[in-house]
Amino acid sequence: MNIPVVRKVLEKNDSAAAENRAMFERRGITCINLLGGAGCGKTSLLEALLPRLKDRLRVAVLEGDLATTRDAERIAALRVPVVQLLTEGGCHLTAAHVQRAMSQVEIGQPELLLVENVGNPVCPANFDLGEHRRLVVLSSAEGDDKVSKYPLLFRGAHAVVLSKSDLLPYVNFDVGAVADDLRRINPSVEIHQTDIRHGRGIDAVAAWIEHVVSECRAQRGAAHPAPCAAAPPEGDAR
Amino acid sequence: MHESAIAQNLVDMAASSARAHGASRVTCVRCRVGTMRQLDEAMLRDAFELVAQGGPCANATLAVEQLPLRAACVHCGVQYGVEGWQWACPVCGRIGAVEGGGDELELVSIDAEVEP
Repeated sequence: MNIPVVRKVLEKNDSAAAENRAMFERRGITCINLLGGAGCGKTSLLEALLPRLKDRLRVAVLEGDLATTRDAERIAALRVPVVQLLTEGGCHLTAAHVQRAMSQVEIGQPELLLVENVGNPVCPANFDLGEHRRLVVLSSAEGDDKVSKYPLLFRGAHAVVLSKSDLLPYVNFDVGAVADDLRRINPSVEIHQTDIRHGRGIDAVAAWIEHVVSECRAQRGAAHPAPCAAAPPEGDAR
Repeated sequence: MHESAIAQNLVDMAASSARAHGASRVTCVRCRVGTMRQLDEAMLRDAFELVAQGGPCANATLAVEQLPLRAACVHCGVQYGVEGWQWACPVCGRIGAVEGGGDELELVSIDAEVEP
């Protein structure tokens, strides 16, 4: 017999992501998913952003990796709460990873949660974590053909950081062509350029993140107009 | 590499749909995949075969329908599918605007049998 089904293949992850979204609303958290290939500079961007953000917002970080806790150590050195998520060979984070991490006490009560996904331009783009925004990093060293090679990644991005712009004189990376490709597939995307070594472009990315946090806060305020005390995070014994 | 996670979900969903209809063996699983999902079909088939082993979907065929990213020409109005990042309008050759699609990932239907 033929049985029509018509169900989304990733519905299990989608429903965990919906639970995360509800949890973020309850706890007043704005979540940004940071994606990009291995070595594009996601952790370095976080290291540059966190000193600027942590005085203005309560920030926590989830570090997704296949193995090692090296990235989490780099974030912990900045005295920012961080949980390392090891996928043990898995090529992407799932909503369930985030769910488990958010029940850990060390994550505290952040207003902003930055999730660094596994370095991979393909798989993570398929898995909704329940995040409010996606920030994609593309370095000049990777080449200017990457927007067309990984369309799902860039179509789902709210902002794109073109990193390592200090390498532009030495590599084939036509910023204008990349911006054209980006606008073609994602007309509303915001584009930033950074050079971490010389501290360039980071303030603009930090400002975008702060703007996202206030936008999400305003949306929550509109949904729940009566001010109420912040609810303690689940699993927090304090 | 996300093929294995997707194959696992397909097998689980097909098996539960069969059970819900009183069937015990799945012979065919049909799915729809947008090109932007960048699923390697051969890898998806291998993963499907592997995770289906020993369950109701063992030896089932997997039918994959690929769907393109859709675009529309802003100059002559023609709608067309973008494949291999060929953005140009097939009629006038100018670049069109993205309409949507290409991100589909659905289980469409299954064929199942009640074993005697």
